[in-house]
Amino acid sequence: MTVKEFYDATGGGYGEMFAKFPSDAIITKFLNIFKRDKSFEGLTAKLEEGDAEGAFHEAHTLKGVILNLNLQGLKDPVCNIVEELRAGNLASAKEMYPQVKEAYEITVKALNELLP
Amino acid sequence: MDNENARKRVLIVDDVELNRFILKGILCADFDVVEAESGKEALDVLKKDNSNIAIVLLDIIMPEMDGFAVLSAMQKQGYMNYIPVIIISTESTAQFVDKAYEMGATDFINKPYNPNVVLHRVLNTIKLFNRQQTLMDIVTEQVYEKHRYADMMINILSTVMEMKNGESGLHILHINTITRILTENLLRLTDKYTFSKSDIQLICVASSLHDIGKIAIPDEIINKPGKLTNEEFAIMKTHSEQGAKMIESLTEYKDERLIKFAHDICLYHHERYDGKGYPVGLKGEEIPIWAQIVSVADVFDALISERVYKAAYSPEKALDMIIKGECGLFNPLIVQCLIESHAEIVAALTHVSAAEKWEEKAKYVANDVEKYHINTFSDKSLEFSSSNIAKLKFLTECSDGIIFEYSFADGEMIIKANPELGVKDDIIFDPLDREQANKYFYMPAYDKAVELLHAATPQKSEVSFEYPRAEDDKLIVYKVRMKCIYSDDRESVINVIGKINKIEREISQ
Repeated sequence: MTVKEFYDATGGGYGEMFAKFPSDAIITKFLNIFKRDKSFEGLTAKLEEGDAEGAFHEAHTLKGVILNLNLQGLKDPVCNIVEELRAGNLASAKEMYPQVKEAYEITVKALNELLP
Repeated sequence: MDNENARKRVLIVDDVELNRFILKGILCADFDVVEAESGKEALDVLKKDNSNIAIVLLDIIMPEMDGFAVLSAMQKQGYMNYIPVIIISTESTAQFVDKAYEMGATDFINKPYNPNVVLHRVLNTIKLFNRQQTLMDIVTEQVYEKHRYADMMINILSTVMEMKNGESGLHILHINTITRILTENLLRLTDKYTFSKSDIQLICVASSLHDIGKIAIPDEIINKPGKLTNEEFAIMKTHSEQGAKMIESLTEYKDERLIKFAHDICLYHHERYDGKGYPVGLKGEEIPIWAQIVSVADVFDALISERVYKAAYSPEKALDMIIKGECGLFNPLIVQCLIESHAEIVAALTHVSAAEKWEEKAKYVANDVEKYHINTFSDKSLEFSSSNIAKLKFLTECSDGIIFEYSFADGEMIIKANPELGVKDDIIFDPLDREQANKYFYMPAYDKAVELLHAATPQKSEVSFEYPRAEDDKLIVYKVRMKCIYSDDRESVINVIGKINKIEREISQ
């Protein structure tokens, strides 16, 4: 799997990312670090605990990473949940969580194929 | 890339590894990059290395200590004055951005990062900050220079004054210091008067000029060791008005505050609170407060210093005399200031970096003296003690004639070269060896000189005599003037300087 194929499989964004960082090797390095990122797990845990503020911080961190990697498939679900959590709406955030989870799992699956 | 920023150090503060990694990748070609994972770690780095950090890239939302807390700590530590901070954040709500700017952030970069934008923002921010810093340094330097030159001019002028009126070389510096301490104390004691810091500075500078009018008073009166006659005292008293007139004649600067202060201080520093002073007889608050302060400073320093006509009083005695009104009545508030601060004043006066200031002042005077070919002689040590000033004063007055100097330390007499008068080169010899002395001096005159010098005292350190000699058909009158130069403690004579003038008269006359 190529880096472009990874992006295509997860919802797109490769073109813009490559325009900014015109090297697959560099983008691969970024993705490698993303593999170690724990903010999704953090978000999951905080939502379960019912900690809206903690969940906001985790979602916010995840959003920063997603934006920096230009992962289009995750962008909308993550941005939406951040705004709900910023407003303190824990219940509706929980309703949005499955969409985040689904997009995240697609991404992780592709990531494991790209970087086994 | 810009060389100016070639190896500057950037501190990246973000709890997310990927974000730090991306920024590092963007910046590492042009900068040394230091990373911090938390606010606390960032402050640790700054504490150790703040002078080397050219810029901080700071994330806001971090666990425990967030970016705002880092900003506020940086502000408290004063780092913000010289380290620019760019906020790197996913947040872009107005409230958030406003708060960051309010707390002193220089710029804002949103995620996702655009490498080109990040790099140029960082480069430009550093460049602007450096330029601003350089400009501030230049301005500071210039303000300092301006004050230094003003100070220097005043010092030169006051040294000239001191040469003229023979007062202790430190009087002007003392007045300066006492005026500053009294003024600062007065402002603490009452809110009746308001001066800015720069006003205080100007009043101190102006205080140096208080006796400038003495330039216009004849030397015979200024340097008269005994009591002045009523007539002489009346002339002496005109120095206040003479000084004010000199200042007034500087029409070009008439609107300057310094000139206003200097004028009032010259004119009114002998006025007294009860109206019994001179020249106008102003009373109480009619006398400008700066002149009132300087009059107390002037009297206090005169009392605690030795003068030709009096010994030095102890500061306590001087204070007592002022309180009792023995030197005229002063503003009770200023007297109160003196009571409270006289110990501070005495300490400051002994400290008055006398040597330092004096030497600097002296160097410039020395240069001037050199320029006008007045011989200062002792090139061994031109440290400007009062003895050197005394010597300079003497030599300034001796622009003609043959000049000689005897140094007790070296046991040598130097007769300075003066080709016009027949002395081709410096002559150095031991005058205590009569055989040598006989080569250059007419011995009866020599003996007369020795006799007179033995009778000299610190109070009467100058002696002179004449001796006539017939040479061919002419009568030659040699006029000899000599001065003993005492050590600064006045305990011993360190030099004798003198000059010989030759006056020829036809015998028939």
